[in-house]
Amino acid sequence: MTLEIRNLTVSFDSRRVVDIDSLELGDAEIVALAGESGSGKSMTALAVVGLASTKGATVAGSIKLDGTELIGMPQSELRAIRGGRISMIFQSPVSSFDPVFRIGTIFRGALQLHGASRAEARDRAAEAMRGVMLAPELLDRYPHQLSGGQAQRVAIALAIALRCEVLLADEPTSALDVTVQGEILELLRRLREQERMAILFISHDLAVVAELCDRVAVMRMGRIVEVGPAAEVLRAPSDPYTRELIASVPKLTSAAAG
Amino acid sequence: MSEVAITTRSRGVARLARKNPLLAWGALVAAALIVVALAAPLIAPHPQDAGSTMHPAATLQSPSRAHPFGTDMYGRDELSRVVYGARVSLSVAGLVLIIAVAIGVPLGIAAGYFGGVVDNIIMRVTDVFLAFPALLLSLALVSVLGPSVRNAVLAISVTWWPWYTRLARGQAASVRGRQFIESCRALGVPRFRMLWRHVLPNSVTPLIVQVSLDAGGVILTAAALSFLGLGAQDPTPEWGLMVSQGQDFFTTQWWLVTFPGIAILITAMAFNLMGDGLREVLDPKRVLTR
Amino acid sequence: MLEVRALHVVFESVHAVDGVSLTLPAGPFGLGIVGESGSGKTTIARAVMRLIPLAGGSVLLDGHDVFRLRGGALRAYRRAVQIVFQDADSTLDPRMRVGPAIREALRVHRVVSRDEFGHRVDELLEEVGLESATSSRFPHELSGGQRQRVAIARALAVEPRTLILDEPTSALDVTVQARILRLIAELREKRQLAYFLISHNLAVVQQLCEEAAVLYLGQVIEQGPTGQLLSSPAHPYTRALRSAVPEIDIADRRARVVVPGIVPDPAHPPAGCRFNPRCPFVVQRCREETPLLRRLWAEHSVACHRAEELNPVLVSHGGRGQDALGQTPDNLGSIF
Repeated sequence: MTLEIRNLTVSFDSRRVVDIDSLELGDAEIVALAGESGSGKSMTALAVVGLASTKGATVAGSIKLDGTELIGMPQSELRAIRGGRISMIFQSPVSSFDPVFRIGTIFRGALQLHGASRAEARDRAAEAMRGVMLAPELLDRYPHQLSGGQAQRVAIALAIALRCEVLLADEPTSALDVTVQGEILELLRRLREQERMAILFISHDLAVVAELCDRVAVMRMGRIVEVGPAAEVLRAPSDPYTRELIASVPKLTSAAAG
Repeated sequence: MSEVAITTRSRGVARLARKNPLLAWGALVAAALIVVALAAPLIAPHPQDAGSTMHPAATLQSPSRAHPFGTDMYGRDELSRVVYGARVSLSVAGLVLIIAVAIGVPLGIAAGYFGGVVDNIIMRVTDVFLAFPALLLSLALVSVLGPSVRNAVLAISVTWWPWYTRLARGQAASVRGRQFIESCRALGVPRFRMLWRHVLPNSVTPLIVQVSLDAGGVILTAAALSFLGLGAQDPTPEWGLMVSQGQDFFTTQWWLVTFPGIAILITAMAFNLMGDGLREVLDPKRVLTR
Repeated sequence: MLEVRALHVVFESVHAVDGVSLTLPAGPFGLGIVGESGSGKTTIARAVMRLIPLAGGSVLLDGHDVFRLRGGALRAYRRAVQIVFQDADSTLDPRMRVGPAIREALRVHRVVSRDEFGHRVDELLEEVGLESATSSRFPHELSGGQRQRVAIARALAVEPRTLILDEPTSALDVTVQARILRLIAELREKRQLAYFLISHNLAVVQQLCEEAAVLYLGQVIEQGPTGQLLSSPAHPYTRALRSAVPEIDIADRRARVVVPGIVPDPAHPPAGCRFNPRCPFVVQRCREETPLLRRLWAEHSVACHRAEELNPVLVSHGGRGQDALGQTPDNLGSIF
């Protein structure tokens, strides 16, 4: 699997919010799109799943999944890819589920939509729940009965059950407590190893990026200002904005106090 | 400097009209109606016909160049009466809404903001008023007080204010839970100032919309009362009364019902359009950031 | 001196804050209150501001019970202690321009005479790094960082000695957060402010606070000088919290102490130590007996039955972080 973005622009009226020359995501790779609010990182993800246009944006350029062009693809075909091969998880997982359905019903609906039989859907849902270390009994719950961490796990489980190849994770841990965040990051790492899932990890938190990602693309005002291996970029940033961003992260100086 | 301000404002109006034609048309018609009401003596071809004059020789004439809307059973010019009718209807609507807002909004704001016992007392009282069908209550009141425009205004106001209490209460209660109110309390902002400067301004948008929507409703209710003989009395040129008087002649002298009827329709619709449009536009964030 | 004594706050029979005692000395001084969601940290802030009723305990300013103040004395308290909330987006009245919002604070407490309002508003805006033209703006016309600056200016308008900073930067972008933290550090010295800094971010607390208290399910489970607390956390929960903080620099990463499970429902806290269902070091005693907050050494207190046993080095050496501490937080110098 490869996801290739070339000359991607997303604009509202005449205002260009995303302008990316090139970005690739390979098999089992975790790439970060890092930036502050308004940098265009979330809009880039929405463009990949074909949802930017539903928000009234004009999308141009090229996004290829294994050589298949996604831009300009009719929504009917995109729907098969969205959820089938590409999944997305969000910052507030509880509100991204329809509150009137049980978790199990949401799984069944999604899986049947992508061609699974009823029995198969049930088995895959239970298996996926175990895969994210949740009891399959939680499938009988409603979204609001889950904690934030549980709901994020469920969202990830859904991507696993759908056998997604690419996961777009938009600030998936920003709303969670720090101890819970650690668990979700661990889970994403396992996902990459066991399911060979490629992850586009959108985050404003460079420390989290440093812990999780292979490569990082730093975005500012719609453009990628610096891209490279995460360890390298964060250790020796070449772009002044990246430097400012890194310097801004409050650091625990345990050495000084020890 | 002022020139610049004026051009930007007029440009703003033009943009508003493009973005929100509902509001633009509603406001335009409503403004035209107000102009008609104010300038009635200048517009009406026979101003004295709005009163109790009689022209026995010219009764029930069909529309002509001299009397574009025809004449009624007393020979009065129907156009002049319809034009003067705007004065009656608009002032009835204005008075009723002023009274309803003046009573209903402060009570509602207090109920919503303070909650508890205050809320309970105020809301139980409004519930009593709301328990009766509005038109029925108005009818009962007018039949006790005697039919006249003034009593119709009082009767309609009595049934109208509780809705404003409810609306304002809901708004104030939701504003009360917002953090800036908490921050004002932490700052020690006095209670009255809190209500006047923070709670009221943040509750006012739906109230303005409601006033605009209700203007049409009040005019219809006043017309209904007059139609039933319990509102304005001849010779007051009230549209509802005119429709009522004209209904006996409807099959032959169609103009007597039709023109005041159209006036009622247009007025009610204009205020409704304006209310709907205002609802869309009156979000401070959207208006001010453009 | 602002004191919180044995504070209890109950919401619908849930003990959101359950016997918390904290003392904030005269400024410049920062006391960090650290905890995850459901720990009761924001509830403490609202109780100190007298925005919610207490179920028990007291809040004292210079020895006077804040909840008994009336009239002029209460007004004086409101001037002495001010709060800055997390989300400046919602702490400013959306219908009020910046100038009038700050003027309101000046007017309510008659800080200066009416004809000096305009001048003072400009001074305050300048103090928080905003142009005087900002005063004619509505809150939604400003960025998140600017709004938080306005909120700070409004709080400072009444010249408080003490601030409650409730997650003042957690809704902001990192570069903006860094600037606001710098501003707080500057103001603290300039105005000799004492503050409670409520945060889930240990690094932010370390930058701005001499002392820190860690909350878990409405109780203080560890308290001490910030450097000491973070370098040698004595409570298993503090350790887990400390190790969960992601670090940019690989060299700073610690072995992760994983705490299984989720924070229990505060309506039904576990018996004994509240952390016992998740604690890797749990013994029978922890399930039966509630550990009290007690001194481990000098200023460092912890609520754990096994503290000495689990931290032999810390106890025998009298705390490794002691000498590095001094009067200011470790990091305060480096952010100027």
